[in-house]
Amino acid sequence: MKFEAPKSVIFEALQSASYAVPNKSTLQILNNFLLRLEGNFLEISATDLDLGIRVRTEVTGHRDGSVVVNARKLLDLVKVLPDTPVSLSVDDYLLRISWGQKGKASITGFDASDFPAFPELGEGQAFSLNRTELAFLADKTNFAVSTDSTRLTLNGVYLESRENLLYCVATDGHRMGRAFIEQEAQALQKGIIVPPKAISHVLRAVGDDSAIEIRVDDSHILFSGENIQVVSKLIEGPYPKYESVIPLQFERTIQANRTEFGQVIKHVSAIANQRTNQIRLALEDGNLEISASDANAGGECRESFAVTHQGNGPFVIGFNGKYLGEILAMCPSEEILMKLNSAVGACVIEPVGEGLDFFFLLMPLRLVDDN
Amino acid sequence: MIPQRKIAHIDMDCFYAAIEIRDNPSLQGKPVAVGGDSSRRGVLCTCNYEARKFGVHSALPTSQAFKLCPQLILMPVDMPRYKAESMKISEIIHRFTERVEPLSLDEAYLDLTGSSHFQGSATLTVQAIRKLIQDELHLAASGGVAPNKFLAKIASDWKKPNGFFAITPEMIPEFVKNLPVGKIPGVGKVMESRLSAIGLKACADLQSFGRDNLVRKFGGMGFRLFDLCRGIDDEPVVTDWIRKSLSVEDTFAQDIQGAELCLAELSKIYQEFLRRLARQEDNPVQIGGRNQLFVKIKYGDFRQTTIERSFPSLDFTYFQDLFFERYGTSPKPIRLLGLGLRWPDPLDSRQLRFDLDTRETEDRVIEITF
Repeated sequence: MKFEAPKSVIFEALQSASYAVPNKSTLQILNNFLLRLEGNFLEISATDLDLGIRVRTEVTGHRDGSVVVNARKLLDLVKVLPDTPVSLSVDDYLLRISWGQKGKASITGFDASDFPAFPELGEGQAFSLNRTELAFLADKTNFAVSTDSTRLTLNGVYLESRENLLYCVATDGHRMGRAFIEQEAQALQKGIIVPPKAISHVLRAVGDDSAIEIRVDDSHILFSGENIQVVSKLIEGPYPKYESVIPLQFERTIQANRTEFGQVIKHVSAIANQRTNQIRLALEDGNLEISASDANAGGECRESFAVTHQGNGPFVIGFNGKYLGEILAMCPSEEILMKLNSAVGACVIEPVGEGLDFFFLLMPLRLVDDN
Repeated sequence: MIPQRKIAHIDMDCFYAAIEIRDNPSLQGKPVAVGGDSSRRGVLCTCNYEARKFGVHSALPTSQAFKLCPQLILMPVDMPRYKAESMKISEIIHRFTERVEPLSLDEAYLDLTGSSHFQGSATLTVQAIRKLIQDELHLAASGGVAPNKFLAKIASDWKKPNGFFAITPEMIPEFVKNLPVGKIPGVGKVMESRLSAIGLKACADLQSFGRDNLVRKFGGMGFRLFDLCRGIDDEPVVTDWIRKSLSVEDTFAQDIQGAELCLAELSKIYQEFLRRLARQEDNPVQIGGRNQLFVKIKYGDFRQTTIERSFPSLDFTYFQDLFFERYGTSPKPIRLLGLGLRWPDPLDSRQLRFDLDTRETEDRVIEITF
């Protein structure tokens, strides 16, 4: 194998692929890149066996071939090289890198046949999204993906089609985000659970309005962008019946200016107990008072503002201020609507006037007397 | 001086097939495999020793397996069930050590260096784990003990099935000499034939090569070959395990029925739970705080349900309440009872949850094919 290309071209491709290299793997071979040159195209692959990335980039090729080489070493070297053409060649298992007039390095590589094959997908379904659509679905759900390894099904985002709507949902049991986009036809026959890492790698690697082809079989999902393929194992279901926890009727609604609401939460959260982030929302007539106190550290903060309230009598509810602030920040609208039943029941939060293509669900904090 | 490490490797014998046979005794003594359907170009995940006699092995295309052994009984892959069994094995292993590196559902490395069980005897610890797996789960495990991961894995394979072998530091030089190069991890079929072509069949042959020579011939793998053919392996047991819950459960020889009997069993399980809780370094129970307690019931029809709630302390009456809330008015025969405690998440002790979990497990039916 022998080729050359500007440092920046090689570096960008290596970096995109490097996201699939595991941080610590007991399988030595996974700490490597597979480099394969065919004509003027260099293909770089990496995998942690659950997720694989394959990047393609154009170089000046001189001799086809392939090599497996330590990812960290090659990436660290190329990163700090000057912005000049860099040449790579392989003799036996030795990858030689040269740059400028006198710069030379070599890294001992491994046999390319030892590298795990990029999974080939079986029969399944295919559909396409553009990057904006995938980013929208991910933005409104990623925050709620659970990292609890005892509830594996919640460790991914759930994608399902209902007629020509593609829904995306995530929940960690405390929070939930759901968004949908319209498709020309039904994309998926049955729901799938996708690790969020796979989606974020795709979004990072493809340009703004590019189309992303998606293929799904029983066990894998493959995203193909212009110069990149990301393949990931699906998380085994079934996904919990999340819809049963979404309330359909509400005793009370609060409509508020989102910016003002968000600012007040920031002020109050600064004083709140740092472990629980507990804030207290007290509603009386058209006035919402948000307060927090920290019994351990000492200190207290309260601020109120006018809201539009529909419901009977005064009402008090606790939330994790960080969770609530995060959700408000994801609503692009001027006004937001909170729909509630009781101080221990799920609260729906949605933008006002932005269509209904996404909403959030948040469970309260049980208030204790340190407020 | 660095103390000699004591590494164990536990490897379940034809795990998926063994579970199928255990749960369906009519398969006993017959060639059984677990894998994908031949009509869908499936391959075998595993097969029992009866099937291996016919030359059937894992990763073999199912269609070929039937040619070798027409009477082969093929069971579909039921991953959720195998995972559940794997978690039970993990729970047994964790009674002895938390330094566990699972490799897959059916094998794991354990670092028993400095362990306090059985006066520090790794051999007795592994034998105890194998016996518990046999007694509680009715599954056979092979075990190996050695000063490193490479030899521990070879040791567990040495007396398979249902065997045990230990390689002491003194035995290593003699033991590795005759070890075929194909036993070295990373040496696949291709490399084995390349080694064989230049007369390298056993580790003793490899030992006569210098490091530089091996690297020139085999690339980066040469470094590993140089060490491994001498029985040297410094790879640590990598664990990222954090205890999330402690639970005890019991499967009854015969389904039980009636509130009184169930309570008596639940009480026995609770006593065992307390014993195991006492062995924990950090007791998570918060008096006056919130403790996430759960009760698990599996009925005679394999329907399974879990009910979970938080309580201000740990007390048997809470488990009793949870049990009756779910067992309720339609008492059915019960196959398994369990109870446990979920470790508190320090960040959200008062954060309320959606009622997702119970709905999720209630609806899940574990199918057993008879």
